[in-house]
Amino acid sequence: MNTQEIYNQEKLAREQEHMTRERKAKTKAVGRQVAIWGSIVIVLGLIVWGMVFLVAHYESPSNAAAISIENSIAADDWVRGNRDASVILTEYSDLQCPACGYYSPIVNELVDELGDNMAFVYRHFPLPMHVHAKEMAVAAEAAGKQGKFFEMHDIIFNTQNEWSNKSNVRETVMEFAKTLGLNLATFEKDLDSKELAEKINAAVTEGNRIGISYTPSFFLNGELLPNPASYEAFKAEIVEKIAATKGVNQSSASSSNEKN
Amino acid sequence: MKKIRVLSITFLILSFVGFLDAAFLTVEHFLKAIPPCAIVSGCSTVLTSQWSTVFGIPVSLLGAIDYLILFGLTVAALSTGNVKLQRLAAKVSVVGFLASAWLVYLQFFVIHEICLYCMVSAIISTAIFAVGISCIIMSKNTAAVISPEEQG
Repeated sequence: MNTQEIYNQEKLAREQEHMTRERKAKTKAVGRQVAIWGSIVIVLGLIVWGMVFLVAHYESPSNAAAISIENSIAADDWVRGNRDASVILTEYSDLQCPACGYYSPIVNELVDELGDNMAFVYRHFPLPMHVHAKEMAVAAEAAGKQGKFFEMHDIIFNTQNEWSNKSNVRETVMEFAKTLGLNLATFEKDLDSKELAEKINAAVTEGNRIGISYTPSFFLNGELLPNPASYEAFKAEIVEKIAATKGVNQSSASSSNEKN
Repeated sequence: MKKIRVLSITFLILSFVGFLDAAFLTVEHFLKAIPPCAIVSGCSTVLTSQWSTVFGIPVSLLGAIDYLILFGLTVAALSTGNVKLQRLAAKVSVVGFLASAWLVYLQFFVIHEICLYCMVSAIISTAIFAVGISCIIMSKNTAAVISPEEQG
């Protein structure tokens, strides 16, 4: 072997060593990337899973846990379904609240389906930030004086998007009254009546006394029912209650009697 | 470059917090059919308004995806030391910034209700955009490397 050969061999060995080192470094870098992205995916996954868990299981509107109401129907309550049923679903509601508007058709469907075995009671709780909520409540009451409370309630909820952002809803309400075939002169007089304004104010005072903090607030036989996420979930709660009270109380299932 | 690295990490943290905020709203959207109207918050009005979804997709989900993309790009930039990726993230942040500006406008002038979670997201988007701009300006005259170690 001459010096040239030795030199070449040494050079080759050096190059090989260099390549291995480079490959090692590369593997290390890839490993590092995998570790970084892997842990990010795991951490983000855990966070989202944790959120889903917390929202699904623990989040209920604040200070709402302990409140309850009397399990009865008052003489001036608006009732759908069977007044004498052993199950009473009571709603404290705001006609301008989108969530209440969302639940309105759900509740109507519940009454259609389970109305023989349950009473649905609607009570006003217009929230201060909804500027037209009180006026709409009065309009529903004024229609109620002519026997069409729930008809007005339905129109108001169904068209919520159309009037919520208007500055003045008097014309809208008069349109509704016309659609329902109400006596317009009487209706308009009732809209401005002190009696109805006071009735709504009294309902707000009562809601505050109970401790209602959000709308819609539902009570099933006097106990607060956290808002069910779907029609099916809602129906299941009521069906269960009907089954539970059936054995105890064999109430005469009279025909649906709506207060109109 | 040290300063760009600091900016990158700020970008990373902001996009992470933004992701948490938007992900929370998305989870709420899918789990709670509807948030109730509470006396203290205008969120339900905002989150149930017609502007809360785009073609049926909740805006909060789009926000979460946007933050996730920004977060991912920044992680890639920091872990490889490639400043080009950071500049790309900064460019993408314009989308979130403009969308937030539009949503804030809707809250103030159209819906007339303010949702705290949405405002937090708008503030974060704006901050990310500002950090992104600084990144672009600062990286213009420097080598395409953020990491202080390794390459150089």
